[in-house]
Amino acid sequence: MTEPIIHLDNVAKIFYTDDLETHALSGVDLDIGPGEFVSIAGPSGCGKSTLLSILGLLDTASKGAYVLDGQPVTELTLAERARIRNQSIGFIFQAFNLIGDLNVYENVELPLTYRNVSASDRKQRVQRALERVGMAHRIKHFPAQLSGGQQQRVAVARALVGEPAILLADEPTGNLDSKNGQAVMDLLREIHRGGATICMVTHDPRFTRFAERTLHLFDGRIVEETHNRGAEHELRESGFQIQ
Amino acid sequence: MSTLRYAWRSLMKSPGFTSVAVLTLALGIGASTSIFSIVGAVLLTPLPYPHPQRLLSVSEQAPDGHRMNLAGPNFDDFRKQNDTLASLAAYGMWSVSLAGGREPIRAEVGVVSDDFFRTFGVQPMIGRLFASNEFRQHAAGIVVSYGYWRRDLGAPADLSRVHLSVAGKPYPVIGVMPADFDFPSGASGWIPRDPDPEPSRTAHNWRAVGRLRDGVTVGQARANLTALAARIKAQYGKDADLDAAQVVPLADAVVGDVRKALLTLCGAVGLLLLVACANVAGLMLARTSSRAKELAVRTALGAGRIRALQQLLGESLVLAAMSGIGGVLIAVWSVKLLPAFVPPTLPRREGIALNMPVLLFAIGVTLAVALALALFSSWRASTGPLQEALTAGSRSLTASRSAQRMRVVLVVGEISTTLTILVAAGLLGRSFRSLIETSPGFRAENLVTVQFSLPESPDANAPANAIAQNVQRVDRIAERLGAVAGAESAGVAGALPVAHGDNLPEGSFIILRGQKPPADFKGFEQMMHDPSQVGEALYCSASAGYFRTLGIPLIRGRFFADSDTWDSPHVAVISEALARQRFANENPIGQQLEFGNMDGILQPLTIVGIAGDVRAAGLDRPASPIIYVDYRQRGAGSTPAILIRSTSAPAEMIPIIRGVFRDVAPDLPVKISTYETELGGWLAQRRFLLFLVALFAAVALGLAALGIYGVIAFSVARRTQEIGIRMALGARPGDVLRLIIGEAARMAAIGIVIGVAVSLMLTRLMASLLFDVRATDPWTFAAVAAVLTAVALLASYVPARRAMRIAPEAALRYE
Repeated sequence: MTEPIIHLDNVAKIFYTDDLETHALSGVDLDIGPGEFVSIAGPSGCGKSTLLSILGLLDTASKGAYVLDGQPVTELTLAERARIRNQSIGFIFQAFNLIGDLNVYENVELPLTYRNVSASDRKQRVQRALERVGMAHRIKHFPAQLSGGQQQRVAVARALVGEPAILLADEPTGNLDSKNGQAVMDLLREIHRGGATICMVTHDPRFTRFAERTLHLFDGRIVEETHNRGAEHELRESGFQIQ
Repeated sequence: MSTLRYAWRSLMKSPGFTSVAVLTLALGIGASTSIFSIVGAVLLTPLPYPHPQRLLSVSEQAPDGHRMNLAGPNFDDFRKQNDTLASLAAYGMWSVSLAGGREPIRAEVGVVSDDFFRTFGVQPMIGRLFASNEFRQHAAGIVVSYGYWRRDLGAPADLSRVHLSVAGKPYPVIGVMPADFDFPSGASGWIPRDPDPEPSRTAHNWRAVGRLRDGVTVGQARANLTALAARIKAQYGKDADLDAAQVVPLADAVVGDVRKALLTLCGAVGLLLLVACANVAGLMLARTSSRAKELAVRTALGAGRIRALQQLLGESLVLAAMSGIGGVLIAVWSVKLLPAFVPPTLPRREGIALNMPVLLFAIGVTLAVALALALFSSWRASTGPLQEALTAGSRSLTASRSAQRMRVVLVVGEISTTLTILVAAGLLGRSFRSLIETSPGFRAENLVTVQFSLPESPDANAPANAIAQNVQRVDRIAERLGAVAGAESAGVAGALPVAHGDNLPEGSFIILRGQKPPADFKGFEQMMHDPSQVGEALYCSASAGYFRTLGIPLIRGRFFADSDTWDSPHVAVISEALARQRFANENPIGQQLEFGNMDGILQPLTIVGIAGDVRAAGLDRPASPIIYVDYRQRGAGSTPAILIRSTSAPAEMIPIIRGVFRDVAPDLPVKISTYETELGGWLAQRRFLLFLVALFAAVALGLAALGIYGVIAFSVARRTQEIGIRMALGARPGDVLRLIIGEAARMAAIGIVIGVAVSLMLTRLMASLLFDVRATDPWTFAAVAAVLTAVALLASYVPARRAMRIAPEAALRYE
């Protein structure tokens, strides 16, 4: 069996506020293989975003172990976590989270500025990423000058530009109308077809079908796991192996 | 009224903002009010005489343009022949022994011509002024100052039995001047001027004050007297050395070169006020931004635009009023402290007070600040965050970004303004350091100075006797003081060098080059016609011990010796500077000089030695050409000084020396001090200017740091989400630190570039206040830029550290 790119073992997350202890995640075991498209679904407050934050090394688990791409990451320093985020993870957020003071080019270039990548190399890679999402003609525009759909495409380009091992998407269509939401999902599917590992939080059942596997969270636990045969079939057709 | 009440309530709800803003503005208003109390008293308050604008200072002007006192006959011609002045009076200041009061004192007494008091238009408080015929009598009487009358005479109402001894001669007290009459400054009394025994048109002994006739301007008087000067020059040729008349308003002449220092202070405090206003404007912006939503809601509820603006204006007014009160309290406190810091040489310093004009100034500044802040608030409200908040509703991020840009502009302005004040302080500091590091030409440490007055000045008609008495008295005192335990050596001089700047008299001397010395002063004047044999030098009567005590080195020849007596050929030691100037290619030793115009003795002086250079006219001036004469041959004058080199701390010796002096000369007024204290008096004006400008620079720097901190802290708060995004994308804590500190560095860099450009223009105006440093000194500019950069980085470090600790997952949820 192929080594999972993400391996969670009995992960828990507890928030402490005054005299209150909130268990956001409890006993989560999860393996995600390379090239897999997994969606995480569940009602508000069930722990979806917390799980995604832990997967993206934006937050740490209170208990349990996390191995990312073969490397234990639970005990890493802030700087080491930042380096892994920069090199191995791409983020797509519901609110796009583009930086308003930077133009499209600068926003996409941002992850590369935290690596030792030459300016000419950066330019090529940014250009390529923007072409891939169909936004190469808007490089001088600022986020405020773009529609929501366009902003999310730029955010996808930014997530892709560093060629991460895994793409984490938190409700990527949550702030978009249905047409733009569909376009973004089509884009993610295309990226996935290109071999990317994607883990997506969504509560929209229309888009869970894009994933091969859907994890259902409730009260911080994975209570159900469903497989989308259609998506798997599509992938097999494309020559991919499904675990 | 309700607007103000609401404004008050609203400000009280933000005690942090209100207290910082009030304190900042109060500092600015208080500092400017305090400086105005000085500037108002010295520069702006009219002289306390009737129609003071008509009073003039009149001098002669030499062909090279420098100002000269009036020669007696020239003064007489000016007085009689002018047709623009209602009156013109001559006066001089005489440092003498004044006895008959509580105790004998060394005092300054004005020697005045008959129109002196009439020119000022003042009457005595008690008694009478001099009658015209009293100017032809000897020791006709003395008019005393209010201060001397109260302090030393015990304020008697009946003057008929009060007599004083002025330099040993009895003078009946005939009148007391009112308390506000103080001209020349510091005079304890006034005596009539005797007619010149040997009138000369090149002996510049008199200052003059005149009063314009009705309807005549200063320019017309100047033209009139300059025409008279030309006529005198044409008539007397080489017997007169004036070229024109210098006529300036008396108020300007009294202030003299202090004006530039005070204007520099005004500039510095004005810039400080600007920094304070910019700081508070920045704080108000931050507050307005954070309240944009509240204001938008109020508008949505029908508050109306004018109402919203009224609220901002009301807050500006209340804030400025509170700051004004705080500023006045700071001014009250600082004006109380000022006398301890204001140099004693500052003219009209006694007028420094928190009076009505100063209070009106404080109110004016407060209103100006209120108006500036109100206009700023209104402008921002019509173009900035409020408008955006009102029109765009929840787009508060855009609104805060616009406000933030404005705050950056304000802080850049603060940095550039602060740099200008810092550069001024830096240049003054370097000048001061250079000055105190400049050697006067002798060892200034461990010196006790004893300055006293002798009753009788040398009598020109019987010089040998007068000098013998003078020398005998001074010798006896010097001998006793030199024998005090802890005294290494003692020396006598006619006056203290350096410490009082222009203490040593300057005059023209003649190099005889084999010619017979002049038989009388007419002959002296004749010889002065040949410029090739005339020189200018300071005159210093000294003992052999003077050179030894001060450590002035002998360059060539010898110092004075016991063999130099009244009956032996009179000798002189000249300074190296004089040897260089007048004897560049010859040996000066053995050359004969005539310098009798300084002490009334026409016996020629033979140069026997060359002494090391002394900066006798002040540390900020080049070494002066000096002719030292032996005090045993020429006398030490009526106000000699004895300098004692002590082996221990000189201050500890003062009481011992005072005791010995009282024992040997109980009747002589004396001032015993250390040389360093005396020099400190000379440095006091520069120290005062430096102290205040440096204080303002420090406050401005603190305010600028606060401004930078505020902007960066606000920026970090505004950019929390951005920082979270950057961290999510792989920014390490170090990258975040660089990002935030870089923002401060950029502001500092822009502010520094603008500040340097402005300072390069402004510091030229203070060039005359500097010593040994150029107004564009690159080291000072570089040091100030480095300090500002360091402060900017430090001020941004705290918010930057906060930014580093932002949790990305929380930041990404940040609204």
